[in-house]
Amino acid sequence: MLRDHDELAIGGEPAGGRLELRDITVRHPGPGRDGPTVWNVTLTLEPGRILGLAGESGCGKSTTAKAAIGFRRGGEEVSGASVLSGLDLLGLAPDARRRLWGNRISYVSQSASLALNPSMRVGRQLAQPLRRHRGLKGAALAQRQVELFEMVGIPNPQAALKRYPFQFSGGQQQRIALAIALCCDPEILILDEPTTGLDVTTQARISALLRDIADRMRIAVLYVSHDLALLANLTDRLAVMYAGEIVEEGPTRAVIAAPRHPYTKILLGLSPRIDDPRLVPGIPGIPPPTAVLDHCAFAPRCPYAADACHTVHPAPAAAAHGGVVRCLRADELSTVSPEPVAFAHARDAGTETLLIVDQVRLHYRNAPRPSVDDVSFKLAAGEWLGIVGESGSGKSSILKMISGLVLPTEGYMRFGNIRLDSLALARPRELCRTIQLVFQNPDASLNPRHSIRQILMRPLVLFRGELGAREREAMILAILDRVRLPASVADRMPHHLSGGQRQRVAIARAFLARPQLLLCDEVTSALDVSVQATVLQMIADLSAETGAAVILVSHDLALVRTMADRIIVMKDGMVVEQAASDALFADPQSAYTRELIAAIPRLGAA
Amino acid sequence: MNWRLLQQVGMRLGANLLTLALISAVTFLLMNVKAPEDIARSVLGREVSAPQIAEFVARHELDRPVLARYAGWMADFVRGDFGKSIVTGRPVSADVVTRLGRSLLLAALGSLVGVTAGIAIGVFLARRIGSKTDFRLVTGLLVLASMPEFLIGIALYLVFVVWLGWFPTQAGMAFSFGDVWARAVTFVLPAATIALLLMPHIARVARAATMEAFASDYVDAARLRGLSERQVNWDHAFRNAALPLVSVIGINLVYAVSGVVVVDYLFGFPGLGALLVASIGSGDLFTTQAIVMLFALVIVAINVVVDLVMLWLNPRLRLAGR
Repeated sequence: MLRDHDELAIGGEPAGGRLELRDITVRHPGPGRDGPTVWNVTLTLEPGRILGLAGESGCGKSTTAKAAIGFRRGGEEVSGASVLSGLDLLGLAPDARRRLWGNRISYVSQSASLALNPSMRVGRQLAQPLRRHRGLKGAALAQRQVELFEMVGIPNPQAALKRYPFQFSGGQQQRIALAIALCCDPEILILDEPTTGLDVTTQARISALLRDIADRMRIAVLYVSHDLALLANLTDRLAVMYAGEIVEEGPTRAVIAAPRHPYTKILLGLSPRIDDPRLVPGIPGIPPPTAVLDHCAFAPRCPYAADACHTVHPAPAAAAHGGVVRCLRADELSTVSPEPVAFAHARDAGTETLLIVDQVRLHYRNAPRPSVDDVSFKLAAGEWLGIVGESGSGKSSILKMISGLVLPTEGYMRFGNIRLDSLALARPRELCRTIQLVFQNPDASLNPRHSIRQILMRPLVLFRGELGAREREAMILAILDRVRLPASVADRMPHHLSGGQRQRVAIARAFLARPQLLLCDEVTSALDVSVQATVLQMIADLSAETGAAVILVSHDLALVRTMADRIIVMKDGMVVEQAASDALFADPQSAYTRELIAAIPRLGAA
Repeated sequence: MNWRLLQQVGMRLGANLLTLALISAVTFLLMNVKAPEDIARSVLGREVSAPQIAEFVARHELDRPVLARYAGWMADFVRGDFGKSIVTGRPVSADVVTRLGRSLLLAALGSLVGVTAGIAIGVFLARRIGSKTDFRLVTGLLVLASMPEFLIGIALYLVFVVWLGWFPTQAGMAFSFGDVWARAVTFVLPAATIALLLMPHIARVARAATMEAFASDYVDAARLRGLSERQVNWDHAFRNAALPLVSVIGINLVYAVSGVVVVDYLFGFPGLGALLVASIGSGDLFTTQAIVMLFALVIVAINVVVDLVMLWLNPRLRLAGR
């Protein structure tokens, strides 16, 4: 899917606009923030090309994107230049900038459901910039609106224009946001995580649309995303950001094939691949909150760091792949790459059946169709079962029924030799102990007013009443050590910890109950890839030690492939396919599974 | 207008009518479950003869069954006939209607000032979140919001009547209909009390709602489409900030109407509240019932209007389930 645009360069200067970011530096002065958030970012957006900006949360990629078009929030200091055909956007008067925004430069933010005004018809939201920048009125305006909705693939545009944002699906909302961004034929398009949170198939369709539009309209696109595999397939050039700096930049294909910076190498190894069910172990530590200017920002976490890396701040240097890299040892390390490992969980589990789910149906009152419809499966002790599907497929509802948060409308479930026919509150305490649930979002599942010690004490008090105070304390410290958190964390509150650390606390809490079955509901979806691998490794290790079976619910097929022995594919509440992981990928039986697998962006498939 | 919307509006109106019917029944029963003789005595006093009581009971038909009397009273009330006062013998409507006008005017004036000032202060603060001004004013609003209406009223009375002497004392505030200026003066302190009652609540919600709207992604997005500041503010920020505000304004209008009772009493304002207190004291059944029903009607009307405005402002409510 990668394109080579070299022939265009030979044909002379392309027609569209070009945006040059020169030494963009952003500071957020305030207590505890000495360094800049973004440091000396220099990038060029070429007409008809897509530049990918990758990095983990907090690395400054969104701040860079907003700063590039001269948008700043209160308290932000931006320096450098962002030049669009001779105009420095940062130096322009606010009025002049506003004449460019939405007109020659457009910006699409991550969540269209938040970026569209909830109480205004989408037609009017589309009309506003057209009136302002193009002076369109009446029939010409209406015609342009319909044209734009057709271009981004909104069915029945006439009627759609009269609807409100909440009447569209997430994918359609993002298409509408895109139509608004494209309404005045912009030269520059900035996309800030535009498909994050959408289903893979929707993501694939929107990405294809973007590629097509960029090519056809000769727009220079900056595509910000944390998803390297997605960028690998979509972009022409790729920049990787770490702690506010571009650590590597170059032609996408070359960077993916032969990354020069250790961070890029590890990041690539961390993304689960459907063609190789192994992962590089996670990166220890957390990234610095601001740019580090007196040594290499990545050195403390880098497995290849030499002494000099801790004392010298590397300057960007030309790399063999035709781009730049900010690493002292880039040349020495050119052939080194981190070795991925297979996850060691109790693969050869016993044949004893732990859980039976038989023809279970869940139909919420007033819902048009059942959330779960006629689902049956068995789980052996120690087995890892993956359940995948798009949002609304009913995959999380299954976990809710097993854990007793809702009762199935029909069907039979048995755990060991106990029938699961009551809500968690009515279940024997011992049963609650052996089935533990870890949620997607640790921000919501950890009580914000309890210290980590109090949080971890809960399962011990509830389920392990026989233990004395000293034993409990010892167990808390032991489990914190197992999830690689320092003992001092016990006295802290959840909001003091990072997202990954909070999720590790949630996992520690589940394992303190010594479960036989661990239910994981999208446990890593809110986490960065470097943290994701660590968290998964932790679950794998702990379940291997305790022999717990795991049901892993995720929208990420590649991730499930990496972790699970067997996979259930769900759609609209029904099981589409159920097979051993390897078999499912080698020979998918249903059209839907094939579609899902095809939609997954592949690394190194080019 | 569509069928679903009509259905929703219809259901809300129905629910409100039901509320009114319940209020009327409860009020009537509370006032009338006493024996007819006791009602007569509470009006005529202890020292009355048996024939006098019998005559009173017969004249006001108090010997009919309670439910029959309720039905009769309700039927008259719906037609606008509030009956005759059992104390003064005059038609209830004569007193009630003029006072209703004054009280509504008072509540409306107070609400208008309170809501306008509240929104202005809230929006002003929303643009200065975290500043010293913000902190001081928010603290002040919190103190004010926690004061009951009689305390605000007494404080105003002490300052402007007793201390500064800007307004005549209660005794001197006899309602003179000839003098427009004197009439206007009598409104100032009661209306100010009601305004101060509402203002802090409105200001706090307006501040939070405006702050949230301005921090939203859709306001950033609107700005990044190059729209004018006026469009960003009005079409995108304030329109969405209005949603939580409207429901709070509704609650506070109800608060203002009920505040009239206390304010009348404090300032000797000749409104419906004063008459309500007096009629309960003198055992004047029909006057009390009529006033309670009128208050209920006004409050229900406010709720209906707020519901309709919410439906108009919030497409999610209007189009739910489609």
